[in-house]
Amino acid sequence: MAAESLAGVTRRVLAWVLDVAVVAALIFVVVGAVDELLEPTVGVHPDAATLEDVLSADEGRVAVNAVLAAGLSACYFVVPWALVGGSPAQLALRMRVRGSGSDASLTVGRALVRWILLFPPFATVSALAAGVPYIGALAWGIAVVWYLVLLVTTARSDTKQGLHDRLAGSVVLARRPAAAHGGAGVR
Amino acid sequence: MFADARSVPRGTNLTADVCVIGAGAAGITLALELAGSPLRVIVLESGGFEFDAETQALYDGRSIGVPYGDLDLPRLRYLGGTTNHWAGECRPFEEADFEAREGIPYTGWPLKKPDLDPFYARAVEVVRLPTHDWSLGHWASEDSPPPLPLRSDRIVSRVVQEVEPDIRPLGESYREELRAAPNVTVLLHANVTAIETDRSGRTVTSVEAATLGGNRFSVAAETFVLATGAVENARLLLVSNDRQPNGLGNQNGLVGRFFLEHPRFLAGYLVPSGADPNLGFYRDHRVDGHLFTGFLASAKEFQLAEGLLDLQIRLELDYGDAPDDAAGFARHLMALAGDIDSWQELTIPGAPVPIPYLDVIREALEDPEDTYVYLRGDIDAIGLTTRIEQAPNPASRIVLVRERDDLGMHRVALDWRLSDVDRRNVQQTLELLGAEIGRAGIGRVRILHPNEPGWPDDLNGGQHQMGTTRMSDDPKQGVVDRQCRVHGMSNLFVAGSSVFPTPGGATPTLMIIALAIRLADRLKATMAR
Repeated sequence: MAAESLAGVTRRVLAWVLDVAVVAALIFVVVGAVDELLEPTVGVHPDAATLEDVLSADEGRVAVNAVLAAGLSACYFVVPWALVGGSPAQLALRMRVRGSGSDASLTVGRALVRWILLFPPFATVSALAAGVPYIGALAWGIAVVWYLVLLVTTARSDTKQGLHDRLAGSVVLARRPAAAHGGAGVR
Repeated sequence: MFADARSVPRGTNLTADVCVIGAGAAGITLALELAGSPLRVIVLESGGFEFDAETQALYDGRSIGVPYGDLDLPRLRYLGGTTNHWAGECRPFEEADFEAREGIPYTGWPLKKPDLDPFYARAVEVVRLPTHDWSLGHWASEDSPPPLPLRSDRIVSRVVQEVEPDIRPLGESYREELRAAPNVTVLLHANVTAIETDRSGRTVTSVEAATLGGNRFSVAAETFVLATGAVENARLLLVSNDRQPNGLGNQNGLVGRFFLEHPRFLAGYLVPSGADPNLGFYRDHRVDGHLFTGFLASAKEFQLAEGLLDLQIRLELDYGDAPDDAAGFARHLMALAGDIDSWQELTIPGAPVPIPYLDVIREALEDPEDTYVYLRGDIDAIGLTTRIEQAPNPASRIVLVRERDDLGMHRVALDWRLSDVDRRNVQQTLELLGAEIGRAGIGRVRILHPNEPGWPDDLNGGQHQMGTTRMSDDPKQGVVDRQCRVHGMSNLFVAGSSVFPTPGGATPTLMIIALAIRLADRLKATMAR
């Protein structure tokens, strides 16, 4: 079995960015395909009489898209965390997520909590509050603060457990190259 | 039916009753109107079904007067002609547009509005507009955003109807009708290089045609109609100088003169007194599904009283430059933050990061300016872009130059000249607009370049080339008579905007089509005898 140590912040942020890019693309394709099959969710009317009328949104479809996107995102993260111990980008970068105090993968419940804490529904809140002055801006301000909190608490933790890890009971480990683990005599 | 001039045997002499040169708005309308008649019609079109750079280059020319930009830019040389990039704006001339204006020489048409009304009604059908009604009462309905509440009738709101985008390229929208017409042959890739006459020089016997590949043939007909646009109509008459040394119809030196445009430039700003005024009436929008836009103009009574011609004022949102100071940038960021609530509607909720919808991306890429307008927030000012009815000026002209094109024809130069009345028109109308806007409490008008001599750097044509074979009953004042027949020629007619003595305040295409229908009726009536 390969030697492991606590995963560093840089590698974890990189995995997060890659995962987000992949899942965003996945959501874009799926929602885009649904939009193509049905009427578009958002109508754009550049020639509208007033700026307020430039957009028209089918609120029912917006809700469906929110559920669809959240479901895809949850499946992308929760299922591999619980089944194989890491999201696709984490596995690619030789990391795994295990339960705190055990060597087993996260339970589905812990994986769900971790997913919710890593991806609070800022966009959903913002979209639902569209038209209410400054709620959207407030949601995105809170989002920035939230990710800063996760980053700082992860970096300052001896066990590299950010706030989300502590609340979900998870630890992220990284495999180290064999040569770095006293392998000099194995040549 | 369609045929390809490249496959016509070299040296062939084709024959027809009517030969139409050019298949743009005028040529296609003539062909459609003559379809089904006993007359055999050949339409000679320089291009094919699609744009071709080598053919388009035959339009290259120089500008030697007021800066005009590329001479070939406003026009296209393939089936459908300039309608292939037409914005679709339609409005008929008003009664006053046909009248002579006191103090402005060369104004006044030999025709009057009632002469053209029946043909306008049919032109509306050609471009499939929903109504022949351009009145404000019809278009400023409850379903439309309101026009600006000006308190006088000296500055008025008017509308242009817009032809639906799929109808605008007439070469496409009427291709099947042209293909099915048994008595009409549209010969593609056929460039007319000269018009030949009998010994008297008064009757056209044939036209010489050539393809870019070197094929040459001729077409003989009883009647010929030039329908190649204001620049080419003059060019073809001028180069056809075998029997008439100055060119056909140019016995009084008028061919190519009186080149007209709808000059435009940013003449001022309207700074609204309230944020984000509702200018929807002055942007493209629909009422009952029909597309139109509004604009401001001086009232005809004001024009007549002041000795001016028409002037359209288009209202265009202006958001100014990005702030370059820290405080300005902070205010801009705050404005954007305030807009987050609305732009969040563009993204897919539930996603881990904001992802725009596919349609939003498509729209944003198609029209970046509107995207910027949407994201930018408050309106800083409203640009006032003029479209001037240029006063007739004999010094404004198309001339032949030494250079020749790939077919050996002399190229042309445009010596575009404007006059004092054009400049005075802008100044006086903007001053009047400022007074009316202020009186109505809408805002203030800032006039750019007030009372300055000359023209601003952003002056350009309105892409409406007109007036080089102007219409007049007097051969010393015009190239064609009221029937659009070239003075001194028995069987040569001109269709298109080159016959306009004055350009009117309206866009030219509907008038071009109306005049072409009128000419077709006349040909059918006279040639059937």
